[in-house]
Amino acid sequence: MKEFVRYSSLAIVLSVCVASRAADLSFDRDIRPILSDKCFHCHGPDDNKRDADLRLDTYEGATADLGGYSAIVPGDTEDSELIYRIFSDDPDEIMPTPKSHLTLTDREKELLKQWVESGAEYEGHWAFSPVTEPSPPVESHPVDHFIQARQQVAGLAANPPATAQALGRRMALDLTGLPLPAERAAVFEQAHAADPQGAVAALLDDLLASPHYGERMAWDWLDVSRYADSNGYQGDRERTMYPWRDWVIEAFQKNLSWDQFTIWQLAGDLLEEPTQEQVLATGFSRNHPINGEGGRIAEENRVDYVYDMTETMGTTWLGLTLECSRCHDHKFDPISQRDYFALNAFFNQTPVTGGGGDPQQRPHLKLPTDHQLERQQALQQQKKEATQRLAELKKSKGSETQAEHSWSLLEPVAAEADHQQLAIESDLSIVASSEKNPAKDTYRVTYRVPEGVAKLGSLKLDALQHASHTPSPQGLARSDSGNFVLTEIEIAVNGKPLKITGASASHEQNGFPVERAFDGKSDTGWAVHRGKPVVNPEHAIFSPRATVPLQAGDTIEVVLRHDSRHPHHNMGRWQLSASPRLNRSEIELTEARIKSIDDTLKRLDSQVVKVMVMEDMAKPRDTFILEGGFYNQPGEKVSAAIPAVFGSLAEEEKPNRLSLAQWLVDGENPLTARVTVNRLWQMFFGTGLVKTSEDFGVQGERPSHPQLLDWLSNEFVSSGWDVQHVIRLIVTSQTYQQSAVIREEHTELDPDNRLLARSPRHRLPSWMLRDQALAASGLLVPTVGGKPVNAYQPEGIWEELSFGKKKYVRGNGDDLYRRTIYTFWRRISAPTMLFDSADRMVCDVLPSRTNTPLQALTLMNDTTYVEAARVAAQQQGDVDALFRAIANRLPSDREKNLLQQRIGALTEHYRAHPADAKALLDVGEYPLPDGADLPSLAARTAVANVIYNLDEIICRP
Amino acid sequence: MNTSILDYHRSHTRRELFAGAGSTLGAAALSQLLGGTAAAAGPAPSFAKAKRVIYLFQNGGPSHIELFDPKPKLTEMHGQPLPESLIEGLRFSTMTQTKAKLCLGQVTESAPAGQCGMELSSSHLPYTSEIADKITLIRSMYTEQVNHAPAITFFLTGGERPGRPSMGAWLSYGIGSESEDLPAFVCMTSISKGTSCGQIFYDHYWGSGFLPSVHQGVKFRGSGNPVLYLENPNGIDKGVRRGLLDDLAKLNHQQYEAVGDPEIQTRISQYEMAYRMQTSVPELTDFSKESKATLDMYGPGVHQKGHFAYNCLMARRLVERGTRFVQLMHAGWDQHNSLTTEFNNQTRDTDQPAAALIKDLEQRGMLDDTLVIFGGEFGRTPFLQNDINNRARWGRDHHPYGFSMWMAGGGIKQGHVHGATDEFGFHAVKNKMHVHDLQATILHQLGINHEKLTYKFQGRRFRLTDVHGHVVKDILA
Repeated sequence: MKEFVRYSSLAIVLSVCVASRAADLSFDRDIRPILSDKCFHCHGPDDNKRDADLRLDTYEGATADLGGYSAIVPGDTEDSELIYRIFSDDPDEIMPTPKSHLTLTDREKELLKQWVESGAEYEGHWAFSPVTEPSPPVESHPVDHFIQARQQVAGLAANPPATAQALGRRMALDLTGLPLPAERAAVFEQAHAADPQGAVAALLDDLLASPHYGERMAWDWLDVSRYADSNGYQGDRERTMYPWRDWVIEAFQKNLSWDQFTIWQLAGDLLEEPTQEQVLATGFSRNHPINGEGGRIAEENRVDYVYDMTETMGTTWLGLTLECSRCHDHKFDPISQRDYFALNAFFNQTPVTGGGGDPQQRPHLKLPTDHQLERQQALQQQKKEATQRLAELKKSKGSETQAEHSWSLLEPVAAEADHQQLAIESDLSIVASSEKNPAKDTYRVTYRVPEGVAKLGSLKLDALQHASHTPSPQGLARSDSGNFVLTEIEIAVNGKPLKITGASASHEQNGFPVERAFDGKSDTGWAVHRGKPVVNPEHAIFSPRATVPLQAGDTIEVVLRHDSRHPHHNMGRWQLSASPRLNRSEIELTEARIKSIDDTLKRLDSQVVKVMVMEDMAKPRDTFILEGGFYNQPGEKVSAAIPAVFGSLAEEEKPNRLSLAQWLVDGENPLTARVTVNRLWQMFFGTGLVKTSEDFGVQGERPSHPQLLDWLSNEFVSSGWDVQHVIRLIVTSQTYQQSAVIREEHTELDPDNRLLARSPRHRLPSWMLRDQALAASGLLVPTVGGKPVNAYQPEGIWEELSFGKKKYVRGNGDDLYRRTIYTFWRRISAPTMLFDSADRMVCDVLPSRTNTPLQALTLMNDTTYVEAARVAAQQQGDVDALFRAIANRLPSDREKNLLQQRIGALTEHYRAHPADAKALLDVGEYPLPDGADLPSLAARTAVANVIYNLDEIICRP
Repeated sequence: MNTSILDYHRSHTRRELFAGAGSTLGAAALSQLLGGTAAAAGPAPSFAKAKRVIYLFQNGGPSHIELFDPKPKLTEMHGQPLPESLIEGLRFSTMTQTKAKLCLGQVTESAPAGQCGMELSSSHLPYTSEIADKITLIRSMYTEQVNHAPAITFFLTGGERPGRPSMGAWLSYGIGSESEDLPAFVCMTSISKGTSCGQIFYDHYWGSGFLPSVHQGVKFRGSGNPVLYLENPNGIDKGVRRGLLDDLAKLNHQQYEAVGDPEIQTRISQYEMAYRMQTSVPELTDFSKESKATLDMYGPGVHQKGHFAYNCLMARRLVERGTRFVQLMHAGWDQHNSLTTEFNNQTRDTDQPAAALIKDLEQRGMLDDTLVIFGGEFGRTPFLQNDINNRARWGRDHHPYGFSMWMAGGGIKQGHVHGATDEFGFHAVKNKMHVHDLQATILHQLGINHEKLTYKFQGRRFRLTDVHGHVVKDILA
């Protein structure tokens, strides 16, 4: 619909231009859009896709000699091939060629003809030209001056001021995303009656000072920076970027100047001795999705991430659709593929590898809590002490690490093997025998505890020699080498399994340490080979964590497993002894302690919040033009530079991200200020002065009010990039404060409201609707910042999309009533109560506003809204109070009558159906008051649900 | 107040037309609105062979060799290296990029099916074999993407990265809905039980990209409410809701009279649509009036919410009620190491329901103008993944260079085989069909010239087929 204005306004322009003097033609306004739209695809800046060697985007190209003729001969329509071709009827000659499915309208042809006639003058694209310095007259508000000038041409006039009630509500929602508290609304309305501008200024001060202002401003910035609490893609692992989100809120809150805001986020790490805050800010570039899908090529991922960083910067600060020039020269804008990769080179210095799905991929900034920090310091201290102690022990005791044991030989009472015979010998050893040594075997032996062994601290397994062994008689098994592999040992005392936690051995073969004999894995084990056939007995000592009391006659059951992939490595003869002492020396204990401290430190570190940030590699990475944008098709090498159309960076040896960021905010950059104030304008009026806020290029829409855009941009820069200054300029204008009523002349002359002869009344963003519902019911928990929370969402909502791998567990208590900005944002499943929100996959600067039945279902039936209705009804006794709590005004008599009748009818209904009343009031966690009249409360809850769904409530006032 | 969804869509498409001044929609009324300046082309319903589409998308990449394109040569050369000339310089997933590439013989059995005698897997597609005479089997598909998400995105949106509208969104935008009570574009997902490797269903697979979000697919959930927030809160019955909505409409109408915003009228009608959906969606999901014969035809899964068979019957019920585009997505076809195991579950769960859907549409006289498509985002390599001596772990890797899919109804030839791969099933060699060709052909069957259904965004006219695609006339009846 918005384009209609462009047409109608163009029609106005045309009626002036075509009818009067061709000298009024502006190349930039009237001609370039036609050429760009209809001709540049084949005759534009892209060197590789140019037909007939003709380019129409430059004067030189258009007037070049094409072999005896030229596309354009300034001042001469007869000799200009372009004019001949566009008016031709011959399908082989006519341009645009029928194959392109593009056609010129009669008006467009006429304009081109007049332009050639008048000399075919070219001028630069407005957005790439320096910001002009319009000087509005002092007697009126500059915003109103520029806005009203266009209204007058169109025969429109601004609406009268909005009511104080509507204005207060509008300001509060626009600036904090929350309705105005009732007391503040009353103060404002009273003050407004006496001194409107004074009241607005005072309210503005209050709102800008509110912590909720920071939250409101941050929302749009999270959309821009594609912030989410998970990686996206398969796996979709949870990340901890929320300290960055909190930093954004705080930065807006303290009104950090936009140049610093820019520099910190793009290059805070490159500042001299950067503060933690400045490094934290660079999380901006790391908010991109991470693809941890198996089979992805790391370098391809890495290249994608760097593309994303580059393009996000381009859209956010330059309003340029850089993506188009990734694979080829831009079809419309003078951004070449070389320019793209020169920008890419600034970000290509990140050490990020692209491999894996680590959601806290380095480089990252660790942000331990005070508590974690204290714990870490304490543990480090303990570790230091233990390490010192260990050194002392080792020095004084040398290599003596074994505890003093007193061994009692255990008597086997039963022994059996899966594949061999086990014989109990007189020396209490057991010998395994069989006709053929089996590949694998398992032994089960029961031992009896003799007198005098009061507790079990260690068990010693002696592997003994036997004549049947290889090499006979010194080997320990009937295997080639006399070696065995004990893959598992299991111990039980009186049938109760005993977990082994420590062990030592007389010898451990490389790769077969004794710990492998109790690791629960059947393919690992303890073995004793020393590089030649085994010729010595060996032993291993196994201990539980703590000693176990024993008495004579108790049984110890031992299972010895030989499941190694090395066949026949079955132990051939052994004895088992018990000792009351644990098998640990002080040295071992100290070592174990250090290991345990390390484990704790590691675990603690894994719990520490880490924010992915930017860093440049010490050794710079070369950047190449990637043909077709493919990661593995490098072409020419390029160095970091700004697009040629903007000149070049000041002489610097090695331009880096900091140089880029500084260039963006050097005050001379034609785009940064315009793009930013345009987004601010869009925030208040729903549509930017440049409607295509994502595209300030040649194909983007020209500003509806170019002078206003430039004037605001100048104000922005000269105020020291003060965002709140621009906001004040906007909010104090009559244009902002006028009423939103739509009259017939509006729909006729300006259906899309680009001339702003009325205040826009678009639907509030869905996150704001939820915040409003919470605030109006009194449920809102206004805590600022912190970990993301899980609000009400339907059960199973994550499971379904992740095949059950992610479970949605909703929070409780305060978590349910936090502002929506703190709701956990899972990239593969955005919060379900939201609609028309950015998908947080790529940078998004353009709001979407649809009007669908699914939205109606959400607002009528989602637990959040129904609970808010109930709690509002609990807090407010009568219709007047209930209506005022939600709408910031008293109901009209008609409204009041209607709703009261409904309450009456429903109270009766619920008296007749008390179970229904109870069911309705059972919604949500917030407690019901004791002794409430349930049918009446249910009726008022239902009516509050209606009020929450009123167009007046869900639209900007 | 009884604004129909048609009015709703009309009002939206009209708005769109203004919004994308260059967008080309066919309705004469719309071109009039622009004073005839737009290149009016767009849908010409009288030429349209299909009125609606059911896309049975098989996520993961079903093996064309096992199912649709038997290759005796592979069996003959089982265990021997594939000729180097086939593979040289090609890209595979990192899982097999550097590994030896040994031929793996077909692990299923095939036989000629139907009167037409097209060869299909007799062991794994017994039901599809019964409808061989109804379908066109395309054996010469190829794509440009070798990983799941980009390849699926490419099939469904024409681009490999998220951001463009999906096919259903284009159709909703281009020709709107036929239903007053149900959305124009619905998506449902399923996965075989016990699947170890399922791909995530990203919502951009049914997204509207840069088109207004009113065109995005409505995802019906596989459990609980098929539509989120469809049910009234406990304790608010239909009668109470009606009364509340009457009040809401009255108050909103009063607001309309006070502020004159036409959007309020749309809002009132959307709340009414929501109310109708509260009836139409439960009615849609109520299978009690389906005959036993019909239910049996789809197989036992039809009784299980979230099962492919259930979704197939839902698809028929949706198109019956006027939904334009139904996109079913069944995951789990990623047989890297499960060709002799999980693969059996995949075919068991999809073969019967997909064939039943064709028969069911036919018995209702709806097959002629309903286009059904069955296929994945790529095929699987003729060579083996994993150890040739371990049959239980045999698998095939992702394969974009040649694979199969089938289409039926909506003016597509019956009992026809289109194109072929080489003797190894490696490269599509005869009548090669690119993804954009498939998209162009689908749009063509709906009466839309794929080069003319465009939307201007960021200064460029986008279309489903990017700047490529040809209608494949050979498969049209």
